[in-house]
Amino acid sequence: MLLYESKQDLRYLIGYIFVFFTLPVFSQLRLNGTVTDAQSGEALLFASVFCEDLGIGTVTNEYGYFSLEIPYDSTNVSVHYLGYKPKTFLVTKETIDRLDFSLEKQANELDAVTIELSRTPQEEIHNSTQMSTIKIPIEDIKYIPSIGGESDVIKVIQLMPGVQKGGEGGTGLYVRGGDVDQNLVLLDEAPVYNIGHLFGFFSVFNQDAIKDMTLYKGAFPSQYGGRLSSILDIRMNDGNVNGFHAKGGVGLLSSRLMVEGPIKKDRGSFMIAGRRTYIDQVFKWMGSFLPYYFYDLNAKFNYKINDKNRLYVTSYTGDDLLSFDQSDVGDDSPFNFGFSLGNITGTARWNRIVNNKMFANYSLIYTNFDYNINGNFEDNSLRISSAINDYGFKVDYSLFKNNKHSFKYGGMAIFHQFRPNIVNTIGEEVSEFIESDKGEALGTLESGVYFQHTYKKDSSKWELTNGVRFSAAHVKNKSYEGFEPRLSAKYLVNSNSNLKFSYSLMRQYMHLVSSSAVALPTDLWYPVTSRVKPQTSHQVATGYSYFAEKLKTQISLETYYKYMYNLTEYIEGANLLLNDDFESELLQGNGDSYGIEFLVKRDQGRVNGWIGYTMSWTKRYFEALNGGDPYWAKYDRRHNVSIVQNFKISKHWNFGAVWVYSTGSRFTPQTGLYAMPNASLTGIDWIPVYTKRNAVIMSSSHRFDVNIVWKSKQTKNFKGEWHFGAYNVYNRASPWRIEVTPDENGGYKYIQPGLFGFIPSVAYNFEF
Amino acid sequence: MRNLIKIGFFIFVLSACQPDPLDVKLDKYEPEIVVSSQVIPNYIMVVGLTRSFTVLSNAGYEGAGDSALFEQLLVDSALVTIESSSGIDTLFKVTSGLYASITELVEPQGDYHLIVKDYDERKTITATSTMLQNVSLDSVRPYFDSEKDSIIKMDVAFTDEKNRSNYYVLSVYSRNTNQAGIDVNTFFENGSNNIEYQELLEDRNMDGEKIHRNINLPDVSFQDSLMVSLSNISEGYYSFLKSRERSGNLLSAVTNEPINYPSNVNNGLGYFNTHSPSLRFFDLKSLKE
Repeated sequence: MLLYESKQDLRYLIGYIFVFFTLPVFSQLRLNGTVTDAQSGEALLFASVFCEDLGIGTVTNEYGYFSLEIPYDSTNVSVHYLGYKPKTFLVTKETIDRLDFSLEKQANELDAVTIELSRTPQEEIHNSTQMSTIKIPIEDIKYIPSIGGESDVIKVIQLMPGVQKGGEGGTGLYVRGGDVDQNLVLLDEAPVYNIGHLFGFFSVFNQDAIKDMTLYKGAFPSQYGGRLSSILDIRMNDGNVNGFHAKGGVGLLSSRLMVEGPIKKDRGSFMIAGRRTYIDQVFKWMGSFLPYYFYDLNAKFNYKINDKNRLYVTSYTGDDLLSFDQSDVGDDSPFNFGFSLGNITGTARWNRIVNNKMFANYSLIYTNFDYNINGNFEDNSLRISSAINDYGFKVDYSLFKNNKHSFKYGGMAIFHQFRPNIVNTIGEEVSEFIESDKGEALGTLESGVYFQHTYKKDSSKWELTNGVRFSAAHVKNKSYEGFEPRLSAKYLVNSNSNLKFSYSLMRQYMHLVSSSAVALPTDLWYPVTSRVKPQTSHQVATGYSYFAEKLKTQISLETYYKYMYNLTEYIEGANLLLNDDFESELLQGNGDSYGIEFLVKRDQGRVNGWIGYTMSWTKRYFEALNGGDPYWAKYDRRHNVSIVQNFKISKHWNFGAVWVYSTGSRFTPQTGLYAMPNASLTGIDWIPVYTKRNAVIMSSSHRFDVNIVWKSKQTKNFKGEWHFGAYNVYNRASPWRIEVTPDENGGYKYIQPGLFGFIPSVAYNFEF
Repeated sequence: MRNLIKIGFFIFVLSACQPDPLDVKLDKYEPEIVVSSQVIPNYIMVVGLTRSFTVLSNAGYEGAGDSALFEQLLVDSALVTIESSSGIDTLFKVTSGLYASITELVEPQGDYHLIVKDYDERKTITATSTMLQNVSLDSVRPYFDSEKDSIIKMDVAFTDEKNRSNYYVLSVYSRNTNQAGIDVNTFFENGSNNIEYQELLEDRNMDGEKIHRNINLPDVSFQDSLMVSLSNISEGYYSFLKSRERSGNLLSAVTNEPINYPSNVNNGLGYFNTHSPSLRFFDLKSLKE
């Protein structure tokens, strides 16, 4: 087992990295620079830069920087990015040292006959060793139908193969058989612990503030770690460096506004975006009362110190707030109740171009997630809170040694401060039932170093990315550590198709403790301890990818197998509510998942979208559960289909549609009752009988959503568009929970109500 | 009126098209025989037999506290035998659902095999239980703490058997009428009994040690009689009692994760246990004196 191998191994790793990078670096002619949006100055991530004559190329990194070795004195270099006019430059020896490209947006994508189609994110994934990865252009997300007319990045990700939703309408992500706490969501490198508003019906990500998102389901690059199942890397807009600009939208449930502009022209810019629901105000307008709302605020500033150094400061804050006072509904009884639940993140980044081969990023990271529940009745009050604070530092280097070898290496350290289950009670009545508890504060230092090498030989059909990460966590004077080897390989079958293989070992040093029985925002994160070991997983994936050049369409088929160790579940009958010793309620066991994922995806053109299909199996193995027998995971959904299409009808009209199908999730219903003598031997207790764990499959769910967009005004200075949408057009129930209702025979039966039926929506989006 | 229109509009938008719920396809629930048992030291073994029933019935969903319902669940017609090293003992029916051995248990330790043939449902269930060595109480002393809490307390001590995993249940029962010379036959007779204290113990961290408990009995008065019971139980029965302990209050019924009680009954439910308790009885009137 790698986990507890000696620290000597770490020394070998560091030594290896040191020796490797002190090898002589051969001098090469080299093109390096950035790719940006010509209008806003925004860095374009993963833009394609390649020499058509020579058949060599690269993509910009996650900060918009690239480096490419040119073996001749002059050549044509093309730069592509989806939604932008491709550009081709003649690069000569004189200009080869530093080139910053800026691309113009395509004015009219329907004019595809005259404008050359761009290379798409999926095409870049197809061409690289990377697999099990999803990139969805943010521009396309806004036309995908959604509840209330507001696009949601998380809901769109749920439509991709290998990703399953939890309950109907929720933002839970279950990736390749993993649990919901096995996803690391990063917003400009800061972890976001709670990604849902309104109990998960809306994600916390405001589409106007987001520039790029990438979901890794496997074949994890070495710089990522800390979770078993997925990494969702979301990057915020930098802000327009050339002029002031705003966009936003007004919907039935919420409105949003984003403003961006230069701090100093061509030097620095800012972006501020806000969103707020007005469910409370709508109810108030109707003469009713629902004292709940949520809001988000994103802000980002960047400043270019010189051609080689740039600073970024990013912040996000968002909260769900409920505040109910009995007097608000005209009742004099002294009762009030409320909760707040939210994230704060902050990132300060320094991008540095060390030389024409090396790019560096240094980040300081802060994250806070907490919830507070409070209630007051007469002289009694109860307050329950829980929090996690992260303080981190991260350094990443990219070395583009030559066109055959490129490297990434770096490290991170993050201090997690956990404060779970703080309970304050005042008053005799409440104190009799619930004792005050300060909660055990716990500090955890999580750290990691990584190294990754990509080898690409021009004449070879093979391309290889191998790497290793060494991660560790230090909790309560005890350390947990281990290596995480990573490997991705591509074999070029012909110019359009390739085979891929990957292996990843992942380790996770914290987990989510949540009660499935109670719908309260009482989930809390907790680190590994002597009783709860780190989770680990091994994942292998194989894939075939075909890219139809003329149609700009990728067809991929992937299979995967993932085995997970030390997964956490709760002992049967566990009580997690207000339980400070929840470690004693946890169990650890194993699980596995395997499946086939099929994807046909087209990112551009008049008709674009994707068809995804997943067939998967997910099991859990816990000695202390289900009588020791293996059981299917709750979200073991055998078949998942999603068809997402976007049809650009004309300059002013756009039609989007989604059809989604999934096998039902599983549950454990109570089926019977029996009597046993009670403890005093003078009466009886009634004991419930349940089926075997997750033995019953709920009904499959499917629905059809549409979104019609009318671009009412399209001038140079103002763009407005109306979104008319309908969710669940044929009004089919997607099982959400289980209820008991009288049946026609005089008894009772379980039923599965759907949360949302047919919901029309209208929203107005604007940009100026 | 205007508000009503607004509310009506909003309800239309959000829920007028609420889809019809879908049914859950469940197999028909087949009732099972439920076993409970109790060994009365130096006396007999008693086996209780009832039937489980579907929770999706009127009784199951609307509340099951009805004694008439309980009477319907009693297994009235069954052949109940217990096989042990002493031979095969056919239990006689004391009353509907309650069966007792005729002979005293002469060798209380060892394996006991229960076989129940249910004539009504034409089913046979079996269960096996090992009666562990009786663990004796080293000392038991009820006393009145007049200096500190002004309540009746009890000191209990016993010694864990070394080099094996042991599980215990320690219970204190009260009976609200004094009765001199009370014993196991009379303690539960015509009285109002309460369980004052129950603790499940495992010796994981105290192998071979002397185990001591100081128990507060705030609801016990000088007019009560007490019975202290200590049993050496199997790991399986310990898990069963632990499960019951977890679901033992109103809050846990609402907030806890689902729980499936362990059972050692083949083709049935409940638990066939054969632990032999050590008992002590106290008439608290003497404490006052």
